[in-house]
Amino acid sequence: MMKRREFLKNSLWAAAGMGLVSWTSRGELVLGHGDFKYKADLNWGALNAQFYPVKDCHELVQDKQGRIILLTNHTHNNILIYNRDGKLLDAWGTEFPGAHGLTLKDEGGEEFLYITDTERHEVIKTTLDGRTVWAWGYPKASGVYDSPSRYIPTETAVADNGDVYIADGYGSQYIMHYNQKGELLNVFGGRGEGEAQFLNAHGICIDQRGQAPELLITARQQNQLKRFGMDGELKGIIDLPGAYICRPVVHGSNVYLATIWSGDGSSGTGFVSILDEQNRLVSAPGGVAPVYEEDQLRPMYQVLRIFTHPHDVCVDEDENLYVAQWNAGFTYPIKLTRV
Amino acid sequence: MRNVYFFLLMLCSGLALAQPRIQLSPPQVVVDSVFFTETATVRLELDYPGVELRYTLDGSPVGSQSPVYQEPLRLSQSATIAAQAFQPDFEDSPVVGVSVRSLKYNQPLSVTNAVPIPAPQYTGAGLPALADRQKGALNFSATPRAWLGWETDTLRLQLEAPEAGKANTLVLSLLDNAGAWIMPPATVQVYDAGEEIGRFETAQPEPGAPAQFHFLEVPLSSWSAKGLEVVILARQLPDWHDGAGRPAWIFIDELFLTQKP
Repeated sequence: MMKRREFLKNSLWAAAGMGLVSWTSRGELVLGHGDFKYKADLNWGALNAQFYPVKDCHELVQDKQGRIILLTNHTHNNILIYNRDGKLLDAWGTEFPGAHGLTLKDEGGEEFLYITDTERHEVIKTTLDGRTVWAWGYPKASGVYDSPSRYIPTETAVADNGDVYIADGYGSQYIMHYNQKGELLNVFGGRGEGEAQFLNAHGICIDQRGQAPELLITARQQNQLKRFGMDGELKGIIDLPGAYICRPVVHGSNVYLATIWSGDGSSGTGFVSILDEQNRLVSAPGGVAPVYEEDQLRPMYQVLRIFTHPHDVCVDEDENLYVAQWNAGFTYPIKLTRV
Repeated sequence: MRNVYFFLLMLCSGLALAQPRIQLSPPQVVVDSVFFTETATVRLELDYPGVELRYTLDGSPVGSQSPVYQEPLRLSQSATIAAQAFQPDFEDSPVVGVSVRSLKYNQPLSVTNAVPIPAPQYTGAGLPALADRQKGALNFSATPRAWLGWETDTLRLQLEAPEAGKANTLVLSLLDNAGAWIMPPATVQVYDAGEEIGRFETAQPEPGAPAQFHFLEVPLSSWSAKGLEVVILARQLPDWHDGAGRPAWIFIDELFLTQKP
């Protein structure tokens, strides 16, 4: 582990290279809208890339100790663990070349990570210190896959009863529902433009805000968030025109969604989307102020080039955000501190 | 004393300049119809406090002398719009460009054959898509039916023009997106029964250009056949490109025969 002093020095150099925002003469830049406003620390997670390199920073979760756990597809250190101030605490993982989805689940007091690997075509369950518990391959029992190649899982969601839902967002667009023993219980979705189908079923999570738990699943290419019952029955569709949303993250009564592209989907046009309890967009740090006209959201687009391609957002207990980015010049996560 | 103030002033402005600044995003450009017969309406938008949008209509650089956008632009002639956003707290946005084309003087045209056929993942809605007056999006995957894509050194298209000889220009509507290995071709030649009636060579592209639409116009000398052959030679990806030496992809969404005044 790097010495603290050396680490700070390296962070400063990284900051100089990345373009740190600090407008001392004008006050700090505030991002977002309504009750969800933030100041950005572009340098929050910066490390010395010689020692702790990243490629894409794909996803982030927080454990019950408050640590922020980042998943990158760099096999030098697939997992980087930070404290909330951006200090590196731990690093591990060399065997996840396609590290993409990261979900944390507390199972009777012990926390586990669920990693989807788009190159291994597998979902891997590990302990917080990197011991593999199991690795599940392609869902042969589904009858809809004849080889691993068309199974490219992007995300998992784990229910309180131990059931595991896997979104095949870069493959055939099915959602697999397993029990904790790995027995396949159900398959739904699939590629298509139908209401219960997906174009890029990129992210999935369990939404416990209502009376009964539901699944929230992104249809990224369709700019939609789809609600399903735990049995795979479609419950509703939330339209977010212009917002290419990656993974839903429920925190309190809100849903947070890293938005990788916007507008016509051109590169470098990302921002962060925040929905209220009615699933209406209420704040878009880096994006245009959301406006509803007759219950329809006006198409969203980026207004400030703060973010390039946000891929996931993690919300801490103070409702600060940590944003990991895909294809953003090997940069580390950005922190948005709520103001 | 005056010198001290001057020094402090210099120091402060020097510090201000040393602060890297956030850049505005490019304005949204919404066009009702890129291809039009009467008028096209172009709307510019970047809804952020204090933002001013300026534009040009001939593709020239946008500057402080350029008109400020006030209301949607109604255009009755082909134009290349360049737009940029300004706000004193931020760096000027990148320039965004879009072209609109009047089809007023167009002649009927169909594309009857392509050799080779388009790449399997970019077949669009087939060859009719090249003459359906539907514009593809800059993000080509958003309008997969509009764009046809080829990865080849040489592409030969057979055209049928019922009003033989009545057009003096062939226009190819192309995508230029170096980041996606797509570039306008190096050379386009047009043949009437084996005789070359038009030829156009494009300039070597520079690195760093954003994705943009490209209208390549080939002037035609007099011709008489109802069938024309277009021979398109791909650009070799330049030395600065990751794919240096390989042929760039050719993406076409439309072809026109037009009588330029």
